[in-house]
Formats: sequence, structure tokens, C-alpha cells
Amino acid sequence: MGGIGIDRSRLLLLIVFLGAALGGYAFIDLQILAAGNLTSMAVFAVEVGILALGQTFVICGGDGGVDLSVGAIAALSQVLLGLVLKDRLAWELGVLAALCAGAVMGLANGLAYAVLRIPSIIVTLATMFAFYGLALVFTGGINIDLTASPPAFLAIGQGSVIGLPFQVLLIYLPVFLACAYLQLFTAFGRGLYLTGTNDLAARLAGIGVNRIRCLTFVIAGVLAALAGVVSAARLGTARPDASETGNLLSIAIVVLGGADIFGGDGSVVGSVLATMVIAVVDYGLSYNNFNPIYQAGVIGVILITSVMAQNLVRFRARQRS
Amino acid sequence: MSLVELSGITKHFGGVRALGGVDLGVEAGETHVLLGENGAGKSTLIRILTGAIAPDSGTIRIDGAARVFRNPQHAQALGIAAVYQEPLVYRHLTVLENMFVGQEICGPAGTVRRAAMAATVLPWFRELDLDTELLARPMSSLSIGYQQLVLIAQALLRNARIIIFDEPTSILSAAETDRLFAIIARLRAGGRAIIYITHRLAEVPRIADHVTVLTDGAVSGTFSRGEISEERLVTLMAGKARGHAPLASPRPFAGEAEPVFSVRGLSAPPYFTDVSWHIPAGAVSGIYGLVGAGRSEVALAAFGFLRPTGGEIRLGGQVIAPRSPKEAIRLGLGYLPEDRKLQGLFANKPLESNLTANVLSRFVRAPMRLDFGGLMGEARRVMSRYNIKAPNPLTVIRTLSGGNQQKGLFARWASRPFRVLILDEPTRGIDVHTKDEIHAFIRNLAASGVAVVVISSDLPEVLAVSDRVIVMREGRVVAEGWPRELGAEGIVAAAVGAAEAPRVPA
Repeated sequence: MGGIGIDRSRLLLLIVFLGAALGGYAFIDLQILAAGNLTSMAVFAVEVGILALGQTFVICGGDGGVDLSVGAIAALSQVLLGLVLKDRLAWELGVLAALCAGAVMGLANGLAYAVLRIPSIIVTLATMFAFYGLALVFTGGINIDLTASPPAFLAIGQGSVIGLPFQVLLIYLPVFLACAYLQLFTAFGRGLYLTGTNDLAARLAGIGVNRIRCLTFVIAGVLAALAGVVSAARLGTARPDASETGNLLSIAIVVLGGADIFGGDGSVVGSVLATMVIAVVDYGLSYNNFNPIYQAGVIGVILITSVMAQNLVRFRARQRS
Repeated sequence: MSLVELSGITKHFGGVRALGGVDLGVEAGETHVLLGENGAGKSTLIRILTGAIAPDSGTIRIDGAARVFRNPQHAQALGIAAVYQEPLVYRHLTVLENMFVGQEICGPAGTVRRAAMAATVLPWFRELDLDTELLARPMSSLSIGYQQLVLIAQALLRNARIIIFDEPTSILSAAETDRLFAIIARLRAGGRAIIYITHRLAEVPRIADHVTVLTDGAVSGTFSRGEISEERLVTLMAGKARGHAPLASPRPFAGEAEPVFSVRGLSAPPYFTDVSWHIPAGAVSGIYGLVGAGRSEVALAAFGFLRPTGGEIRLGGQVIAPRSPKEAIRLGLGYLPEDRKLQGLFANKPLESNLTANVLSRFVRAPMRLDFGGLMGEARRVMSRYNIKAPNPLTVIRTLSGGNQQKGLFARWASRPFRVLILDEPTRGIDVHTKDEIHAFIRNLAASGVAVVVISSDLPEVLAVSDRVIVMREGRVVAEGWPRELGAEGIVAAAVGAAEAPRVPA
């Protein structure tokens, strides 16, 4: 695109939100800016942030594409990882199995959408239930304890490198860079934007629309599995009901990040900033002992405010021209 | 005095003239047929008459009083109703609900009084011989023909005195058409004014009291029933094209070696049946026909977008069966689609993305990276080669004029080395200057050895660019030959199905 695939006003808005949230909390209690707190925010942000990166691709592909099953893929992958670790096999094998499982689940979503032509919202609603169900079957509904796993594995979620959390520096950052590269600098990314903008025109221009959309689900699946691995390592447990909020929260983040819900616009850059906004707001509420029942509501308010602010900016711009 | 009288109606869209001073008067108790090919201005005239758009100038008189329609509701209140070829209905509501939509009869508490509504429509249903049992059925359970009748009943219910039929028979069966004509005759006898729009010549003598031929946004003749002859109407419809001489010296190719591109006996019902095109290299083959003749569908089948049920497609002597446009493009076949907005434009993306959408794979460098510098360079080259006026390649294409958008999409295909290039309505809805420019580009393409196909409903365009013409009607090839030997009248006659149409050469 030669840019970052997100318009300036949205970028500015997200930065203002981020500044306002941090500033507001700091006004109440300056301690929130302490290194320990910022690190905690980052750690909480990583898992849903990875889900949101994958979700960005799916939504960008258009045709009302969303993946409601990313949280469920994270959970089932995490459970498979847990089963491998419980059998005392190499932890690397477990991670590989989880990522492959994520790819397969994503492919199942993608094929059901592209080949069977079932709307993605229905496909992934169904697979969300199916994947959570399988996770329950595999575990018998009981969490798998992983605290006795090899330290090298647990370091993925608990270690730190040059003072920063391992998963922020060595997982989230490289994954984000890879996603940004894929979306903004490759033929796949260009094809994805064109597909999301006008899929009929894209098909008639010789772009493999179905293959591209199918691939977005595979990407979302692999990234969801990765999020599942990180959360298992962080908590030292594999839960069949992991990442339940991630299914919808990842969509909210992508929309907050400036993506057009009908496809063709938005980028992972926006999704990262939106993830940071959500993480700061969420953490600050708990830190200041607000009742946690308000947290979901606050995220809703942010989402609506952002859309209204954007509309206002566009309205002004139109009046000027 | 005419019930409705239009005088000096003009309308421009952007720089394009749609109507240039149209006069039309329709009496109570007559059926006035409006005849013209696609793009002659019939639809624009109807949209003005129903209050959907306002004319640039001219007056509309109803019962002798000049009226300015504020909106469609206003036109309706003055007694004008229209029945379109694709009925505009609420499919999930019942017939009764459809008839009263927006104007329900309500009780004091705002409740809908179905019984009162049913009683109100009864006389109109009787007049149209419609079974009252239909009232409770959902609209979606009715055939298109019956849906039209319901809309006619609705027009009567709203006291319409002027009823416009816009190509109502194009998707009706023969029996449904007969029934519709009988009803139209009855409405006319009841003192209403009927305006009937068609491009089907055969229907004219069956229903017309008067005929007005519209050509290129102007009235080229009005006749009463006794003066109507097929020959005369064909001559008038071809009128604007007669001034255009066919190409002075078409390139001599007929009977030459194997055409580089051909389809033989290709079928894809219900769109087209047993169609053969032989397209030679280095020349322009014009495909003329009315909208719905199956021209675009043949192209889409060759381009791998539509699956044919029979026949074969050959490119350079090889039988090909592309399963997707992607594959067709790789084989050397290009297709510029007819609908700019729907099938071509990436509206809110930069010009550069639009120009290069079909050649992205050529700009992939390791590792998977797009060569943005190369893409920009390519976009600049294409912009200057095809004279596309835009500030720079990153300008969003939606902000350009229609003519420049169309040149952009044309260039997307014309600037690549295709062996066969199918251009579907390459100049629809753009200004005359840009049109001439594109025509020159098309001739150049052919001169450089490309096998060019131009699908068009615009006869002057076909005559201006084609070395050879193929005429299609209702999914079949009905005439084929040199523009000179067919002549403008012959081409129109074949396309509309007039009796003296030239025979297809065996």
C-alpha cells in the first residue's frame, strides 16, 4: 500500500485514547506508570492481541467475514498441548502439535466458507461450539496442570528477556512484524485488500479470491493456537474454556483499530494500537479497584465513542471539501 | 388536449447528454409506445415522468396544467404510476400488504384494518380478473407475471390515470404476455393513458395507437397506428448510426487462416445456446445486440467465470477450458467487464492498485515482497500512455471523472500483452471526447496484432471500430458479416428480430 493501511485520523484517535487512559489513571494514582504495572498490561495484552492480529486478516477479506472461533481454537490447541506435555513428550512437540491443530481448524473454517459457501459468521459460530466441545471431551472438563512442565516451556509465558516479558519481545513483536509485512508488503496483502474492496472485480481481475479468504482463516487459526500456547505457559494450566472472551473481544479490537467491518480497509497496525488501548483501560480499572462488572461496559463505550469520533472527523472533512 | 404532455425535456448527466429536448404527448384512452435501443434515453424519460429525477429544462403538463414534481410521491399523487420489468415488491409480505404498503388503512389505535383494505381492493381485483384468494398469499409465491398484475392493481388503487410500462414483457412467457396485453387494452378502454416502453419491434403493431421512436436522446419520429411499418421503425432506430460510415477499409482477413480465438457451439442455458464466434488476430470484431442477448455471458464463459454446458473454446488452435479468470488471463485472454462500478472498480483504492490488479504476480520479488517502485512506475507509464488525468498514481480512483475511471479500467487490460482482448461496453456512459480516445486505442490494439472483441449496444460505436460484426439476439448469433454489407439497418433489424433480417451465412 505504500502506507500503513489505516487513515491518519484513526491513528491519532487511538493515540489520544491511549494517552487519555494512561493520563487519567496516572492522575488518580501515579504508581500505575511504574514498570511493573506496564509490564503486566503488556502481558495481558499479548494473548488477545495475537487473536486480534489474525482476526484483522479475516475481517479485511470482506463479505462480512469474521472468525468467532478464535478463542475456541486457542482453547482446543492449548488442551492438545497439555495432553502432549502430560505424556511427558518433548514440549516442542506439544507446541508444534498445537500450531498444526490451529492451522487445521482454521483450514476447516476456510474450506467451509470458500467451498461449501456457508457465511463465515455461521461457520465459525458452529466451529466455536464444536472446538470448545472437543476440548471438554479431551479433558473430561478438568483443567490440565502444567506447572511441572519443563522450565523452557513455562518461560514462554513467564520468562523475561532484557527486562521485558518473553512473550512480548520474542513472540508478539515478531508476529506483529510478520503480519504487517504480509498485509502491507506482499502480493497476498494487496490481493486481500482488493478482495475486501470488491470481490467480483477482484475475481474478474484474476485474483484468487477464494484461496485468499481461505488463507485468512488459516492465519487466524495458527495465531489463535499460538495465543493458546502463550496463555498455557503463562498460567501453567491448559483449560478447555480458555480465551472465552477472546472470540468477540478480538473483533471489537479490530473494529476499534479502524478496520471496515465490510472489508478492504484497516490494518494490523491499527489493531495493535487498539489492543494497547483495551489493555490499558482494562488493567487500570482493576488496578483502581473498580468493580470488574464495569469492564465490559467500558469497552463498549470506547468502541462507540471511537466510531462517533471518526464519523465527526469525516463529516468535518466532507464539509470542508 | 393531451392528458400528459412533455415539451422540450432535456437532461445531462455530468457531461453526457441523455435527453436533448424531447416532446411527447399522450391522450387519455391511448397506448403510446416508446421505442428505442438501449441508451436512447427511455429510462431517463421515465425517471423524469415518475418524479425520480428532475429535468434540466422543459415542462410537464397534466390536463394542461404545468407541473413540477417535487418527488416520486408527488408524481404518484398526480396520477402517474409505473410498472417495471422486474417488479419492485416486498417478497415476504402478502399481496394485500404489498398493495397498501406505506398507505395502510388504520384504526384509531394505529392497528391495520385488513378487512377494510381487502374490501377496498375488491373492485380493482375484479377489473383485472384476479382471484381474491391471492390477497393472503406472500408475494414471493407469485410468478413474475402475477407480481406485475398486483402492481397494476396497486396503480389502479392509487387512482393512476397515466400508467407507464417499462419493458414489461422481457421476462414474461408468451401466455403471460397475451394476458398483459389484454389488460392493457382494457385499461386503455377505461380512459387511462398508457405509455409502453419496449425495444421489441414485434410488440408494436399489437398494442400501439401511436409510436414515438427515441434515438440518442431525441425524438426521431412519431407515427399513428396506420403509419407504422417495421421497415420505417428499423430505419429510424438505426438513424443516428447511418451518418457514421462503417470503417472505410476493413482489414482483409475474412476467409484467412484459422482465427486465433474461437468458440464453437458454445451453450450455457438460459443465457445462450449454440453460439459460434470466430475472432481473427489483428482486427476488431464487434458484437452487437440488445441487453440480455447473451453477449456478455459468452465472454464470461470464455473467460472462465461461467461454466458452459457444451461446445468448445479454442485459443491459438488449442482447445481451452479455463476454470477461472485467473487461468484465462494466464492463457492470454483479457476481459474488460461491462459494469464499471460493480465488476471493475476498486473504488476507494488508489489508481495504481486499480491499474495493476491483474498483473500483481509480475511484480513479486523475494521474499514475497511486492516491488512498489515497479508498480508505481508501471502506473505512471500506463497513465501517460492512455492519457489518464489524475494528480498522481496514489489518487483514489473514486475521485476521478467517470471518463478517467473508465480509461483506467480499459488500460488495466489494454496495456498488457494479451492475445485476445474482449472489451464489454468499453465506453458506456462517458463523454464523447473520451469515447473517441478509447476508440482510437482500440484500433491501435488491433493494428498491433491483438484479436479484439468489442461488445456494445451502441451501434455507432460498433460501426466506428469494427472490421467485422456479429449480431446476437436472445442467446443466439443471428447475423454475421462485414459492416458494409450488413448496413446499419440490417444490424438493427437482426438485433430486434425484424422480418427482413439478413440470414446467417452457413
